[in-house]
Amino acid sequence: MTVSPATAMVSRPAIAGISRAVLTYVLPGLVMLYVILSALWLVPDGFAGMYGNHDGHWASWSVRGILEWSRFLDFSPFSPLVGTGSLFAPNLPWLSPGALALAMPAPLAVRHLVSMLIYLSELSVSLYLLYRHLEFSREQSFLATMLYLCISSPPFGE
Amino acid sequence: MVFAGAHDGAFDRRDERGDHCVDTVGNDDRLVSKLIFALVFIAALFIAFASAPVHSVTYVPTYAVLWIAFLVPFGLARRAVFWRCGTIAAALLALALIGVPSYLSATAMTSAREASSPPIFHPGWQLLSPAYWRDLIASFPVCSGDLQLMCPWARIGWLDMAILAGAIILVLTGPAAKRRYGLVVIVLLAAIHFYALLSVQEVLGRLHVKHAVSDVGVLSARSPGGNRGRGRRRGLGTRPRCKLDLDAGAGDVAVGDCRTARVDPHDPAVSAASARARAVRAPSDCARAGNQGSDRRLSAAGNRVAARGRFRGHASTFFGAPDGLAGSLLSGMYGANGQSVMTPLVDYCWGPWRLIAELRWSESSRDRICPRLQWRNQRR
Repeated sequence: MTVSPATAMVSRPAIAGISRAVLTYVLPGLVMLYVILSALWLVPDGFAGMYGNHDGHWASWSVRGILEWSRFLDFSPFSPLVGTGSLFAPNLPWLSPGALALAMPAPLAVRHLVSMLIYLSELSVSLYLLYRHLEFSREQSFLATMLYLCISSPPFGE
Repeated sequence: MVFAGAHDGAFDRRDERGDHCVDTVGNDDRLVSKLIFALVFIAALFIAFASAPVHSVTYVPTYAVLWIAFLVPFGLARRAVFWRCGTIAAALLALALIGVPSYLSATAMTSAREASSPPIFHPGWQLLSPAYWRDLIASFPVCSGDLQLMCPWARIGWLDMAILAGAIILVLTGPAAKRRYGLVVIVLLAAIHFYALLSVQEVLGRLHVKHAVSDVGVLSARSPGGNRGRGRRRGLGTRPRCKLDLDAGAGDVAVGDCRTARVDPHDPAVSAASARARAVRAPSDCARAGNQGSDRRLSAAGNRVAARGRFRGHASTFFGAPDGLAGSLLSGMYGANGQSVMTPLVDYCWGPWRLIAELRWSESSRDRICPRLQWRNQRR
């Protein structure tokens, strides 16, 4: 079977475009995702781990407490903890996908991981759109987003 | 490219460089798009405020400044700037009407600070003295690991410096949008450093609301504040926790029982069980705990919370409080004498969203839908 010259001329740019997209976006993105995901899973309860350290513990506990003791979109959740002076923060985890992930029926570590990845996705998309709004090219925006994730996420940010 | 004002029934569009073009989009489409944008903007603002991962005060101001900077492109036509400013004003008005200022005040009031926590601008006239600021800057711990400022000896400091340099380059050389972005970054960096400077002696008093909500809580005195909170509370040690009885009808919280026991903050079930057991014990005197070091801040002088006293609710209970906007509106709809069927719902289920959903519920189902009422009945 022979390929006509016209077909070859059409397919070459398409293949080049796909290869360029794969090498520019997909491959680096997957490598970055793998490294960050592994780091989130492996890093112990450090300052930059999954819901790590004191603030992270409190944030996770607070959201899970609200989800357990309140109803949908309840801004003033009530629990027996109130009797001890433990007042829930006025937070609506139902409006935050990252927080809502903590309600999944899964082990706590998995919930934390999914939640962190959602926050990571939100951050990445926001940054990419911001850079695009600032009229950076797609490649520059993607690279800048990756750099920011390198700085802010484990293991690089640890 | 951003949308500008109308021009002869067409859609006037102009980009940051002043390029001009006209789209043939009707007035109706323009109005719909503006309304959709305004609604999305207000919804996003509220979601950011109500669902911040840790606390709204930590994240919302930063993103709000950025948002506003991009929302108001000053190089555009006057009408476009007007309606965008109108959107911002409407959003701020809506937040004010539903009680955000009081929410922040309540959060600040319940913030855990020392008994000697200063009121706002406590140095008074000293703030006008150059010597005061000189001393303040001299004692400014730029390289404190908790503050993450431009410390030349820390990696985060170098990152901040690189960001500042990039922002300056953008301001000097970039086009309009990038210039505005660079300016916002510089302003935010300056604001972070100025806030940290004011935090050295807590010049703003209770407005230093970092980790405010978690401090009056069942969590360990050391854990919720994190490193930064610990630094601020150095020397406080173990604090007793007070039983704050929620009076749902009045929207008040009465201080009752104080304990020094700790509860595991990481397990809601354990915490809840422990809390239930603790709640039925005989109350002690909070004033006694008020003399036990750190909890003096719960005294009347510190946070307007006295033994057997009451203070005006917590931030989480403010929205839709009986004297709040939602409560007032619903009370007005169903009679101000407090005898209507809806009044108990207003009193006990004062979450405005839940109120809207529960308007058609009968009084007999109140116990089922209002855990607060159940708890209050059990107390009686």
